[in-house]
Amino acid sequence: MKKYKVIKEKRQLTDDEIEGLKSFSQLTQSYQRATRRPTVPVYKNKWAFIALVIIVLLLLWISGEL
Amino acid sequence: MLILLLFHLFSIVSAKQPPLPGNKPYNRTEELIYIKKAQADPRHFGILYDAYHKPILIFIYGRVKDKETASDITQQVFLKAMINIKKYQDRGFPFSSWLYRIAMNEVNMHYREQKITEVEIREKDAASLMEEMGDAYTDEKIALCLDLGAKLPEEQNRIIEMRFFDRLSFQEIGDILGIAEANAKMRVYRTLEKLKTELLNLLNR
Repeated sequence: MKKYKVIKEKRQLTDDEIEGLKSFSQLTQSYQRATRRPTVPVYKNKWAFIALVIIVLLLLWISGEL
Repeated sequence: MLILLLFHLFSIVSAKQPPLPGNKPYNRTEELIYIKKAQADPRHFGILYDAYHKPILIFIYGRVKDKETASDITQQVFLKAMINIKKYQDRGFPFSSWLYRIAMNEVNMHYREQKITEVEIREKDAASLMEEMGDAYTDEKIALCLDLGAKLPEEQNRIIEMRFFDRLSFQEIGDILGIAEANAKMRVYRTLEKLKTELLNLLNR
Protein backbone atom coordinates (compact mmCIF):
# COMPACT_ATOMS: atom_id res chain seq x y z
CA MET A 1 0.00 0.00 0.00
CA LYS A 2 1.43 3.32 -1.10
CA LYS A 3 1.95 6.01 1.52
CA TYR A 4 3.09 9.60 1.04
CA LYS A 5 5.65 11.21 3.25
CA VAL A 6 5.73 15.00 3.23
CA ILE A 7 9.22 16.47 3.17
CA LYS A 8 10.26 20.13 3.31
CA GLU A 9 12.17 20.42 0.04
CA LYS A 10 14.26 18.05 -1.99
CA ARG A 11 17.68 19.23 -3.11
CA GLN A 12 17.65 19.95 -6.83
CA LEU A 13 20.30 18.45 -9.09
CA THR A 14 22.75 20.95 -10.51
CA ASP A 15 23.50 21.12 -14.23
CA ASP A 16 26.99 19.76 -13.56
CA GLU A 17 25.59 16.77 -11.68
CA ILE A 18 23.11 16.08 -14.49
CA GLU A 19 25.88 16.34 -17.06
CA GLY A 20 28.03 13.97 -14.97
CA LEU A 21 25.27 11.36 -14.95
CA LYS A 22 24.87 11.49 -18.71
CA SER A 23 26.72 8.86 -20.70
CA PHE A 24 25.66 7.85 -24.17
CA SER A 25 28.68 5.55 -24.56
CA GLN A 26 27.55 3.57 -21.50
CA LEU A 27 24.04 3.41 -22.94
CA THR A 28 25.40 2.17 -26.26
CA GLN A 29 27.39 -0.56 -24.45
CA SER A 30 24.25 -1.65 -22.56
CA TYR A 31 22.35 -1.67 -25.85
CA GLN A 32 24.98 -3.82 -27.52
CA ARG A 33 24.97 -6.24 -24.57
CA ALA A 34 21.17 -6.42 -24.61
CA THR A 35 20.86 -6.98 -28.34
CA ARG A 36 23.96 -9.10 -28.96
CA ARG A 37 23.20 -12.47 -30.50
CA PRO A 38 24.67 -15.55 -28.82
CA THR A 39 28.11 -16.19 -30.31
CA VAL A 40 27.41 -19.88 -30.92
CA PRO A 41 24.15 -20.78 -32.65
CA VAL A 42 21.99 -23.25 -30.72
CA TYR A 43 22.47 -26.06 -33.22
CA LYS A 44 26.26 -25.75 -32.91
CA ASN A 45 26.17 -25.87 -29.11
CA LYS A 46 27.01 -29.45 -28.08
CA TRP A 47 24.73 -29.53 -25.04
CA ALA A 48 21.83 -27.79 -26.76
CA PHE A 49 22.15 -30.25 -29.64
CA ILE A 50 22.12 -33.27 -27.28
CA ALA A 51 19.09 -31.83 -25.45
CA LEU A 52 17.32 -31.33 -28.77
CA VAL A 53 18.06 -34.95 -29.83
CA ILE A 54 16.75 -36.23 -26.47
CA ILE A 55 13.56 -34.16 -26.83
CA VAL A 56 12.98 -35.48 -30.37
CA LEU A 57 13.60 -39.09 -29.26
CA LEU A 58 11.23 -38.63 -26.32
CA LEU A 59 8.54 -37.20 -28.58
CA LEU A 60 8.97 -40.10 -31.00
CA TRP A 61 8.82 -42.59 -28.11
CA ILE A 62 5.66 -40.97 -26.72
CA SER A 63 4.00 -40.98 -30.13
CA GLY A 64 4.81 -44.71 -30.47
CA GLU A 65 7.07 -44.39 -33.51
CA LEU A 66 10.00 -46.04 -31.68
CA MET B 1 44.09 24.59 -56.86
CA LEU B 2 43.47 21.06 -55.62
CA ILE B 3 43.52 22.30 -52.03
CA LEU B 4 40.97 24.99 -52.88
CA LEU B 5 38.76 22.40 -54.56
CA LEU B 6 39.00 20.09 -51.52
CA PHE B 7 38.22 22.99 -49.19
CA HIS B 8 35.18 23.89 -51.30
CA LEU B 9 33.94 20.25 -51.26
CA PHE B 10 34.46 20.07 -47.48
CA SER B 11 32.47 23.27 -46.93
CA ILE B 12 29.57 21.85 -49.01
CA VAL B 13 29.59 18.55 -47.07
CA SER B 14 29.78 20.26 -43.67
CA ALA B 15 26.99 22.66 -44.59
CA LYS B 16 24.67 19.70 -45.19
CA GLN B 17 25.16 18.27 -41.67
CA PRO B 18 22.00 18.63 -39.55
CA PRO B 19 22.35 20.99 -36.58
CA LEU B 20 22.91 19.17 -33.31
CA PRO B 21 20.19 20.25 -30.91
CA GLY B 22 21.94 19.32 -27.65
CA ASN B 23 19.60 20.26 -24.83
CA LYS B 24 17.84 22.86 -26.95
CA PRO B 25 14.33 22.05 -28.12
CA TYR B 26 13.92 21.42 -31.83
CA ASN B 27 10.82 21.38 -33.94
CA ARG B 28 8.55 18.40 -34.53
CA THR B 29 9.61 17.86 -38.14
CA GLU B 30 13.28 17.71 -37.13
CA GLU B 31 12.42 15.40 -34.26
CA LEU B 32 10.65 12.98 -36.59
CA ILE B 33 13.72 12.97 -38.82
CA TYR B 34 15.95 12.13 -35.83
CA ILE B 35 13.52 9.37 -34.78
CA LYS B 36 13.57 7.86 -38.28
CA LYS B 37 17.36 7.98 -38.28
CA ALA B 38 17.48 6.25 -34.88
CA GLN B 39 15.04 3.62 -36.13
CA ALA B 40 17.33 2.93 -39.06
CA ASP B 41 20.50 2.96 -36.97
CA PRO B 42 20.45 3.11 -33.13
CA ARG B 43 23.77 4.99 -33.13
CA HIS B 44 21.74 8.06 -34.13
CA PHE B 45 19.74 7.78 -30.91
CA GLY B 46 22.36 10.02 -29.26
CA ILE B 47 20.63 13.20 -30.48
CA LEU B 48 17.38 12.17 -28.79
CA TYR B 49 19.29 11.07 -25.69
CA ASP B 50 21.01 14.47 -25.48
CA ALA B 51 17.71 16.30 -25.80
CA TYR B 52 15.70 14.32 -23.28
CA HIS B 53 18.18 13.03 -20.70
CA LYS B 54 17.81 16.05 -18.41
CA PRO B 55 13.97 16.26 -18.24
CA ILE B 56 13.62 12.50 -17.79
CA LEU B 57 16.31 12.40 -15.08
CA ILE B 58 14.67 15.29 -13.20
CA PHE B 59 11.27 13.61 -13.49
CA ILE B 60 12.62 10.33 -12.09
CA TYR B 61 14.70 12.05 -9.39
CA GLY B 62 11.46 13.64 -8.14
CA ARG B 63 10.10 10.17 -7.47
CA VAL B 64 13.09 8.33 -6.00
CA LYS B 65 15.33 9.03 -3.05
CA ASP B 66 18.81 9.53 -4.49
CA LYS B 67 20.50 10.64 -7.67
CA GLU B 68 22.29 7.31 -8.23
CA THR B 69 19.00 5.41 -8.31
CA ALA B 70 17.50 8.12 -10.53
CA SER B 71 20.45 7.83 -12.91
CA ASP B 72 20.21 4.01 -13.07
CA ILE B 73 16.48 4.16 -13.83
CA THR B 74 17.06 6.90 -16.42
CA GLN B 75 19.63 4.74 -18.22
CA GLN B 76 17.15 1.86 -18.13
CA VAL B 77 14.46 4.10 -19.64
CA PHE B 78 16.71 5.13 -22.52
CA LEU B 79 17.91 1.56 -23.02
CA LYS B 80 14.30 0.39 -23.38
CA ALA B 81 13.55 3.31 -25.69
CA MET B 82 16.61 2.50 -27.81
CA ILE B 83 15.69 -1.19 -28.04
CA ASN B 84 12.06 -0.43 -28.90
CA ILE B 85 12.54 2.66 -31.07
CA LYS B 86 11.72 0.59 -34.18
CA LYS B 87 8.24 -0.03 -32.76
CA TYR B 88 7.65 3.68 -32.10
CA GLN B 89 4.84 5.13 -34.19
CA ASP B 90 4.06 8.80 -34.46
CA ARG B 91 0.49 9.33 -33.30
CA GLY B 92 0.74 13.10 -33.13
CA PHE B 93 2.03 13.22 -29.54
CA PRO B 94 5.57 14.42 -28.74
CA PHE B 95 8.33 11.83 -28.48
CA SER B 96 8.82 12.92 -24.86
CA SER B 97 5.39 11.54 -23.89
CA TRP B 98 6.53 8.08 -25.00
CA LEU B 99 9.68 8.47 -22.86
CA TYR B 100 7.65 9.67 -19.85
CA ARG B 101 5.40 6.63 -20.13
CA ILE B 102 8.43 4.32 -20.11
CA ALA B 103 9.86 6.32 -17.18
CA MET B 104 6.66 5.99 -15.18
CA ASN B 105 6.54 2.25 -15.75
CA GLU B 106 10.20 1.89 -14.75
CA VAL B 107 9.65 3.89 -11.54
CA ASN B 108 6.62 1.76 -10.67
CA MET B 109 8.66 -1.38 -11.36
CA HIS B 110 11.42 -0.03 -9.10
CA TYR B 111 8.85 0.49 -6.31
CA ARG B 112 7.56 -3.06 -6.71
CA GLU B 113 11.00 -4.67 -6.90
CA GLN B 114 12.36 -2.76 -3.91
CA LYS B 115 9.03 -3.14 -2.08
CA ILE B 116 8.95 0.63 -1.61
CA THR B 117 5.67 1.89 -0.21
CA GLU B 118 6.68 5.32 1.03
CA VAL B 119 6.82 8.06 -1.60
CA GLU B 120 8.32 11.43 -0.69
CA ILE B 121 6.51 14.57 -1.80
CA ARG B 122 7.36 18.21 -1.22
CA GLU B 123 5.36 20.13 1.35
CA LYS B 124 4.55 22.89 -1.12
CA ASP B 125 3.21 20.35 -3.64
CA ALA B 126 0.91 18.89 -1.01
CA ALA B 127 -0.19 22.44 -0.14
CA SER B 128 -0.89 23.25 -3.80
CA LEU B 129 -3.10 20.15 -4.00
CA MET B 130 -5.10 21.39 -1.00
CA GLU B 131 -5.32 24.90 -2.46
CA GLU B 132 -6.63 23.52 -5.73
CA MET B 133 -9.33 21.72 -3.78
CA GLY B 134 -10.31 25.11 -2.42
CA ASP B 135 -9.84 24.08 1.15
CA ALA B 136 -8.14 25.78 4.07
CA TYR B 137 -5.52 23.25 4.96
CA THR B 138 -3.89 22.05 8.11
CA ASP B 139 -1.22 19.39 8.57
CA GLU B 140 -3.93 16.98 9.64
CA LYS B 141 -6.05 17.68 6.56
CA ILE B 142 -3.03 17.28 4.29
CA ALA B 143 -2.22 13.90 5.86
CA LEU B 144 -5.83 12.73 5.46
CA CYS B 145 -6.00 13.96 1.87
CA LEU B 146 -2.74 12.22 0.95
CA ASP B 147 -3.97 8.98 2.50
CA LEU B 148 -7.12 9.24 0.42
CA GLY B 149 -5.05 10.10 -2.67
CA ALA B 150 -2.92 6.99 -2.18
CA LYS B 151 -6.05 4.84 -2.03
CA LEU B 152 -7.44 6.16 -5.33
CA PRO B 153 -7.57 3.79 -8.31
CA GLU B 154 -4.17 3.68 -10.03
CA GLU B 155 -5.13 5.87 -13.00
CA GLN B 156 -6.61 8.61 -10.82
CA ASN B 157 -3.69 8.41 -8.41
CA ARG B 158 -1.30 8.73 -11.32
CA ILE B 159 -3.09 11.78 -12.71
CA ILE B 160 -2.91 13.56 -9.32
CA GLU B 161 0.78 12.72 -9.00
CA MET B 162 1.54 14.02 -12.48
CA ARG B 163 -0.34 17.28 -11.96
CA PHE B 164 0.65 18.18 -8.41
CA PHE B 165 3.79 16.25 -7.52
CA ASP B 166 5.53 16.15 -10.91
CA ARG B 167 4.11 19.60 -11.78
CA LEU B 168 3.23 18.64 -15.35
CA SER B 169 0.95 20.82 -17.46
CA PHE B 170 -2.43 19.56 -18.69
CA GLN B 171 -0.94 19.37 -22.17
CA GLU B 172 1.92 17.17 -20.92
CA ILE B 173 -0.47 14.93 -18.97
CA GLY B 174 -2.65 14.62 -22.05
CA ASP B 175 0.34 13.70 -24.21
CA ILE B 176 1.49 11.05 -21.75
CA LEU B 177 -1.95 9.49 -21.42
CA GLY B 178 -2.65 9.84 -25.14
CA ILE B 179 -5.69 12.08 -24.61
CA ALA B 180 -6.57 15.70 -25.45
CA GLU B 181 -5.50 18.52 -23.13
CA ALA B 182 -9.16 19.35 -22.31
CA ASN B 183 -9.80 15.72 -21.43
CA ALA B 184 -6.75 15.65 -19.15
CA LYS B 185 -7.99 18.80 -17.42
CA MET B 186 -11.44 17.27 -16.94
CA ARG B 187 -9.96 14.08 -15.46
CA VAL B 188 -7.82 16.07 -13.01
CA TYR B 189 -10.80 18.11 -11.81
CA ARG B 190 -13.07 15.08 -11.54
CA THR B 191 -10.45 13.33 -9.42
CA LEU B 192 -10.08 16.45 -7.28
CA GLU B 193 -13.85 16.57 -6.77
CA LYS B 194 -13.82 12.92 -5.74
CA LEU B 195 -10.98 13.58 -3.29
CA LYS B 196 -12.77 16.59 -1.88
CA THR B 197 -16.02 14.66 -1.35
CA GLU B 198 -14.19 11.79 0.34
CA LEU B 199 -12.26 14.20 2.54
CA LEU B 200 -15.46 15.99 3.63
CA ASN B 201 -17.13 12.67 4.38
CA LEU B 202 -14.18 11.66 6.48
CA LEU B 203 -14.07 14.95 8.39
CA ASN B 204 -17.84 14.95 9.02
CA ARG B 205 -17.84 11.48 10.50
